[in-house]
Amino acid sequence: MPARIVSLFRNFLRKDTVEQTLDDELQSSVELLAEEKMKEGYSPSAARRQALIELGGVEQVKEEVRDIRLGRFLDNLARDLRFAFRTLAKSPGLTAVVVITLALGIGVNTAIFGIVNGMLLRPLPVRAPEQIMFLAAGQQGAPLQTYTVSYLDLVDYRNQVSTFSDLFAYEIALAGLSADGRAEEIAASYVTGNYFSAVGLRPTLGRLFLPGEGEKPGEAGMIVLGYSYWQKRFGGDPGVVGKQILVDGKPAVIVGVGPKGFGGMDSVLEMDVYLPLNRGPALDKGPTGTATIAASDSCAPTAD
Amino acid sequence: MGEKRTDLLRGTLDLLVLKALSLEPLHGVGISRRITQITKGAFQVSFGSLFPSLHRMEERGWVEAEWRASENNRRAKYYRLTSSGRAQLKVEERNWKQVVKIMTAAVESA
Repeated sequence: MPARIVSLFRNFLRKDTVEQTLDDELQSSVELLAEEKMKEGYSPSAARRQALIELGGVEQVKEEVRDIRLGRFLDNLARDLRFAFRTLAKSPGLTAVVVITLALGIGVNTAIFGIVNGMLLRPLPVRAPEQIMFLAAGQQGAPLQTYTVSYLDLVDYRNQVSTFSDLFAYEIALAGLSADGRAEEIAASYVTGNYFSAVGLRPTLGRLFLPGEGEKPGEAGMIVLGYSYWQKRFGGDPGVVGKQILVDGKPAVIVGVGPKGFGGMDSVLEMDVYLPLNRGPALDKGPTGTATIAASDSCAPTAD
Repeated sequence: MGEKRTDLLRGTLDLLVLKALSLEPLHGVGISRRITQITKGAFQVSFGSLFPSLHRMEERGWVEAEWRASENNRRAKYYRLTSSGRAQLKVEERNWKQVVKIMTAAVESA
């Protein structure tokens, strides 16, 4: 088997050398022929012309030889493949194990790469992704953990923390969206009013939420569509702004469409829509509700 | 090149090339000249058939190629028969004689 494999690779690697050698060989043949012609009494240029005529066109000859080599190569390849399949078929158990191992290995690698690419390699499509930080806190003696705060705590931090230019929070949940008589489940981020402005995002259409908006109970229902979802569900219709839809059975007005390429703060999970914080589980129980929200903050150099 | 040209029968080219190389290594042009010589001028091999044939035989291991200086000091690719090439020559000679015998008998039958 190794000899077969070696010969297969030699076929690949030798291609350029073969081409070069063929070139040299035909060149030297032209010279040898020209020399004969000169001995017959031709002038050097006439001899060369006669030589080329007798050879019958360097390119044509090359083409003929290439056909042979290619045919040979394909023959060998077919034979090698047949041999490989026969060998594999002879030990189906081992083959199955190898195939499954490879499939799982490739699958796991692809999945991991997808996550790593989203979380680590591809930066968030916002103004200054390197300046966004997730707050983390730990109680004494306990390990540091991603921070989740109640809304009232967030308000306190906003009032008292001066390290960051802005503090925003969001919470991810699934919601039911119903429009044009069709309902479906969507991934939604319930966000503070400054969610978009804190990272400098601009709407594709209409407007995004404004700082402070949607953080108190009783405000009119609003929704911002993610760009992809707008394309997918509404066919990129520019007339969606102002449209009345239902989210979890409650009315909401589409106020705008988010920027292209932005799918929420967690690149691994793309958001379909953005809803005000007051529609989400965190504030469902009123401002003192103990449900938690993830907080992230941006320390843009310009303090606000 | 006013000599009469005879189309080479399919399969005879390899035999002629092997035969031409059986005495000494030759380059492409030399092989062509040698074939013309041993066929007493009856066959003129076109290079468009000769080179593919040589490369095919090289792939099959019947001939080996080597670059060296020609009689008038030009670099040329010389082909040499390998031992399997010699064996092949014997096989083809035998086959040819058989074909000739059979064909002759067929043609001369009443």
